[in-house]
Amino acid sequence: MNAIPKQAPEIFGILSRGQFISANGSRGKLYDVISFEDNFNQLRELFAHTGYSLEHGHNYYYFSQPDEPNLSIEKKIEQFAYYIDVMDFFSSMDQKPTAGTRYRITQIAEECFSNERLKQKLLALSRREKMVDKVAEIAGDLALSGFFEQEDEDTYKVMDAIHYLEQVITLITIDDDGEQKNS
Amino acid sequence: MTESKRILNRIVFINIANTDYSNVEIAGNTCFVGTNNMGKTTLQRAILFFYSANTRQLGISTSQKTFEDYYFQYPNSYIVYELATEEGFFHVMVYRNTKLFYRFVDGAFDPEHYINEKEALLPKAVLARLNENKIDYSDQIETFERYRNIVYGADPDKRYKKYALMKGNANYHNIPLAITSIFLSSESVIRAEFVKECIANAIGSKHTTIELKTIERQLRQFSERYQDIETFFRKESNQRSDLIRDNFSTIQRLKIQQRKLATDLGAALKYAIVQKDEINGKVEAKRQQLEVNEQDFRAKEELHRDSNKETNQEIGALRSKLREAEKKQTEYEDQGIADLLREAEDKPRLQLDVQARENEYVTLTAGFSDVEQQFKTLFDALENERREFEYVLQSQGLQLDKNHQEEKNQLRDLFLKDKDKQQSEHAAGTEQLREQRQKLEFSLKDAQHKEQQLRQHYYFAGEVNELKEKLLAIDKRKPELTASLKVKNTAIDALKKESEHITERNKIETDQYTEKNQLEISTCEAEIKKIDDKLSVHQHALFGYLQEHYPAWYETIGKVCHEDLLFNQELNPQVIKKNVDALYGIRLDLSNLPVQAKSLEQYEQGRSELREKISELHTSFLQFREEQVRGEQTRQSAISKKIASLKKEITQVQYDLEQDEKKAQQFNLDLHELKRKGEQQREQESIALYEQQEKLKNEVTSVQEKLKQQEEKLKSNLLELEKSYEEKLVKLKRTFERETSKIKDQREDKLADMEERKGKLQKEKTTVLKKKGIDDTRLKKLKQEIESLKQALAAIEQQATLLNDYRKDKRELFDRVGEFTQQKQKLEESTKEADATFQAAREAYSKTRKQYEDELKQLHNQLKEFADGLHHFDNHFRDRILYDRLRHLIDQEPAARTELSITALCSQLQANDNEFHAQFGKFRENVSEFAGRFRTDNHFNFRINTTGGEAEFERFASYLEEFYAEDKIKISIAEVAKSHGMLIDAIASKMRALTEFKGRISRMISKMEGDFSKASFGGSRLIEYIKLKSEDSENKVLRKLQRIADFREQNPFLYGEANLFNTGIKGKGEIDKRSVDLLGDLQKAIAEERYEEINVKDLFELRFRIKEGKNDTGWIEKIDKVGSTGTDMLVKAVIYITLLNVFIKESTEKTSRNFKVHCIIDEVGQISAPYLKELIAFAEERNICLINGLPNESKLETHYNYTYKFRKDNHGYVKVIPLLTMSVEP
Repeated sequence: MNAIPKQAPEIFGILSRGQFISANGSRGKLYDVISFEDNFNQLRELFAHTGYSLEHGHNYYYFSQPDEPNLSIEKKIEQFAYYIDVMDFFSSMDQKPTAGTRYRITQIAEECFSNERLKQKLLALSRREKMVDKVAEIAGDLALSGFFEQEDEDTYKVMDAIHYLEQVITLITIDDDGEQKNS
Repeated sequence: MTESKRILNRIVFINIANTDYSNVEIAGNTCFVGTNNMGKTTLQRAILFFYSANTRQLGISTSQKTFEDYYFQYPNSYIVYELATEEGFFHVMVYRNTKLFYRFVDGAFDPEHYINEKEALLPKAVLARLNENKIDYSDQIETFERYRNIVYGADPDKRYKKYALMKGNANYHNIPLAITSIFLSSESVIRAEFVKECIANAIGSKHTTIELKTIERQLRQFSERYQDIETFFRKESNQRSDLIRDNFSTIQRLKIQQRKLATDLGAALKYAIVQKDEINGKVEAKRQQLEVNEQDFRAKEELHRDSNKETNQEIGALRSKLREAEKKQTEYEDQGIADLLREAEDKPRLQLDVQARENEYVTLTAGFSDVEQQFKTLFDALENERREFEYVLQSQGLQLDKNHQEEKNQLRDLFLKDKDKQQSEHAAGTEQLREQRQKLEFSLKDAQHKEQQLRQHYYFAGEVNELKEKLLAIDKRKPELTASLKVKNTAIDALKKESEHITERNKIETDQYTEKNQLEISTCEAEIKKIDDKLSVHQHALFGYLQEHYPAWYETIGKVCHEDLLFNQELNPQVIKKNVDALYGIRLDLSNLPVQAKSLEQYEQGRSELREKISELHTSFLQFREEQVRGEQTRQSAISKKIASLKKEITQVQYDLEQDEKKAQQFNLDLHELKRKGEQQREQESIALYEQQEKLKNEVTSVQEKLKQQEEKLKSNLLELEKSYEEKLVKLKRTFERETSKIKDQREDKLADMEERKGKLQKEKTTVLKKKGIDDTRLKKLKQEIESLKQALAAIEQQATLLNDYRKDKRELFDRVGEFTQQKQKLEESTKEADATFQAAREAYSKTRKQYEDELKQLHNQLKEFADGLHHFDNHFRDRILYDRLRHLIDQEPAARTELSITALCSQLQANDNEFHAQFGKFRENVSEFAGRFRTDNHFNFRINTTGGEAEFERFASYLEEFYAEDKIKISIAEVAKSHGMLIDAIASKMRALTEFKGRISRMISKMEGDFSKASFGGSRLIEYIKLKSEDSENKVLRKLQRIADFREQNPFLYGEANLFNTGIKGKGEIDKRSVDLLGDLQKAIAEERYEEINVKDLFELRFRIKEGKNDTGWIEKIDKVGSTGTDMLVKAVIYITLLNVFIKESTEKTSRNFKVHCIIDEVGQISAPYLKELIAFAEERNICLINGLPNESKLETHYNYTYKFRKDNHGYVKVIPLLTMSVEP
């Protein structure tokens, strides 16, 4: 049996903050470490003692908490409602938010100027004054959660963790009476 | 100044800073006294500037004016440094003309040359004055470096040798650096770091410094590139790139298909428009033809019907005549016409007989003519009565007969009328049925004909032929494609062989090169080992002994002693007698012999050169490999390109073959399907025909049945009618017969009555005659004969009408029955013929009509297809964006027939577009995912310009294809491997160069320690000892560098190969991984430690230990406070002076020391007079003059050779006034 990887504290530090480790990001090395041989199971076992469960999606890892307080769940749901709107915004753009896509803040702002629908969506998402600041805010939010990664001042890259958002959104079904239902 | 040593004798300021003129002699220990801001430091800096010639290292802060601007404010500002030599003086003037320049003037400073009437001259004027006085001076020295080289005796130009202060070696820079460092280290703490730096500066050079920024940059580049390659080789990336290439080829195919479909659509649209008009014309023409045909046929039919009607009428007439003849014949026969005719033939004879008897009778009665006349009158009256009665009866009979005949005729007419009516009704009914039957029979025949045709009919002949043609074309193309495939595969094999050949040849070349290289390296390493061996033992051998005890041995023993002897440790050398220039008592003139022995530096230099050579050999190997790999890659790339192109062609050919195969299969299936359909259709049509035939037969049977029924009905009706007619006739006949018999009875009664009366008359006549005597028997007989003959004639006469009628009928009917029959047969035959002809015409008409209708139907179908296509295009395609996108293709295409219809083309284009978009979505996603795995500025150039749109993604895919086709990753790997190898080599060689200084460092530290031991300040024993020791470096970066160097030593040839990612060699992968990890660690350490460079000072850690009185500092890193302030300063000054001395020793030639330098230490006011005295003496012993600054006058200044006070005159100019000039002998 291999020893627990030395990067375990670093991995825990990232994942316990609710972030993701994606294969295509700057933390790709950590992703490789987790994926290497039996490391995933070892780390999963190790982290289980802390109350977190190490989970994996398509090219990304994250923590889930089996016993999560209701308040936290409510907050998460609120957060998700926001993410859905943000995803809707990005999905309405010419370039869809697939993993690996690079967005430039100024470019998105320009597209918003020329696309009224997009502009309205953006207006609903941020209260900042300037268009660029609005875009930067939402991109920053996504980067903070690990769905995006900032490459330079103007560029953000979509992480593999975006699949997590997509998956959750796919799971949402809307009944005839308009109420959402999580299957 | 009595000593004949070279020294900076004087410094003169002319218009410098806030001094108009100062002339300060400093040829010994000098003290500057002055309150703050009086210009002490300005002067000290100017002195330092003489030694350092560096405007930036003078302790001027950035907020202050620069050295040039502060010191040289005027064009006639000068600093003059006068130097004393063994022979005399020369001076250096420094002036500014945009930048600072130096001139060396061969002579002592003379103010007359610079100042004229209290006004400083401009440089040109100064030179003019020097020229006037024939004083030699140098060219303008324009660089500080050149100036330093001249002053420190390192300038190759012999003209300037006389201007040197000392004979410095390559490391002379340490002296100005040390002087500068001492001046600038104004802090109260002496850090080991500073000393280390000084040592480093003294023994190291710029070449030994490892620039971490450069290394970090190289490491970053390497790690980024390595990461790029790692990312490239990830399974996910590979899969994604495969998907991209697949998607791209699909997209390309779809595009080609789209273009083809668009051009086809364009052609089809134009063709449809053209065809629509053409087909409309054809349809109209066909319609007209059909109408004409119809009209022709109708006319023929009418004609046929008319002609048939007449003929039928004629036949009917003939039939009725024949029937009438037959009937009349029967009637005449019934009336016994033959007997009557025979009887009628006897009429003339009877008439002659009557005439003869009457003549006889007249002759016989001529004698009793009166009686006769009388009785004749009676008889005539009776006869008349009888005749009258006969006439009445006859009239009655005639009337009766007439009535009977009329009634009979009426009955007959009625009967005939009814019969005709029945017959005409029947005829009408049967005619319709016959026509129906005829039609049905025609239809049946038609169906049978069709059946026959059906058996021979080829279904979908056009399509089948087209498919067969296509199959034929595919069959024809197949061998061509297979041959082309074979040729291409052979070409690829040849190219692969060529590629293998290149690789093989390069491998051999590499092996040869490596072997040669290794041999040279081994030789060098052996040489290095030899030198190392010598250096490791030199201190215990004759060499070390001579270095220690006979410094000038190079010029004597060095010329005659063999190297082996010099490093022999068993010689036990001893100096018996100094300064004896003899070899075992024999004097030799060695002046013309070259020095054989090498100095330590030369050995070290030799070793460095050898290491340099090894490094060069490594570099050249890497260079060779890179060039080879590059060359190989260029050739391989060309081959790969060709192979890729061929593969592409093969893929295309294979695709064509597959497509052909698929098409052939499809066509065969289509053929089969068409056959099946044909058979099915034939079967269906046959069944339909059979059913139709059956139906028609049934219908014919039914019609015949009906006809039969009608015939029977007619027959029964006619029978009934005849029966009724017969009955009526019988009734009429009975009535007539009754009436006739009544009349007959009446006649017979009347005739009997008349006969009776005649008899009575006859008897009366006979009686009369008898009375007259005449026998009347003969007369009676004659009379009876006449009567009988007349009766016979009357009977004949009675049948005369009947006979006449018979004769007429015979003439008109009976005799012409044959003729009638013949005519009837003829007519019937002609009807049959006409019917047959008409039937043929009808059939021809039906056929033509069918053909026209089929053609028309076909044309209608075609027209419908074109119209539907155009309609579909207008309503479902024209308003789409797709059309706008493809308009340039659709609109420009000329009209042409296409395999597919417009609707099908529109649908296929739409489907193609949908497929394209679906594929492009995936493609885009894959490209984004793939490119997203790499850094933004990855060296593969895998990046997408997000504003580039679809074309950008296609460009990317195309580039990716090219990348794979040309196998560019190999070049990349080779480059990274080379940079990896070179990086490790560079680090290793730099580390080697750096660590070579370790020995010198130890030596220098030993020397310094030795020097420190002399600074015990005599009897006062103020400082018991100052100790120094070096420890291993704690620098993390250095450790990492060292690990890399060690790795390099352990694996001299196992890294940096062309393929860094090749795990083919056992253990190689591990080695490469370790080397990459080491580089990664180094990069991390550099980033964490934030050092800019690693130099000699980082090789070791320095510790001080000072014991002053009872105070022992222990091993410390910095000297913060040693005793009181004065003591502290004293100790530090001792350390500074010791350092400078050691550096001077290290940096100048090992000949006798004939120069002095200044050590400038400001603010020494805290040192007590005796200690200062001791300090000055300590410096003096080391040929170092102190220049110190004091804020106030004290007794301290008495210990200096020169003491100056700084004051300001009325104009604010600083004046340097010598307070006391004396030479204090320590």
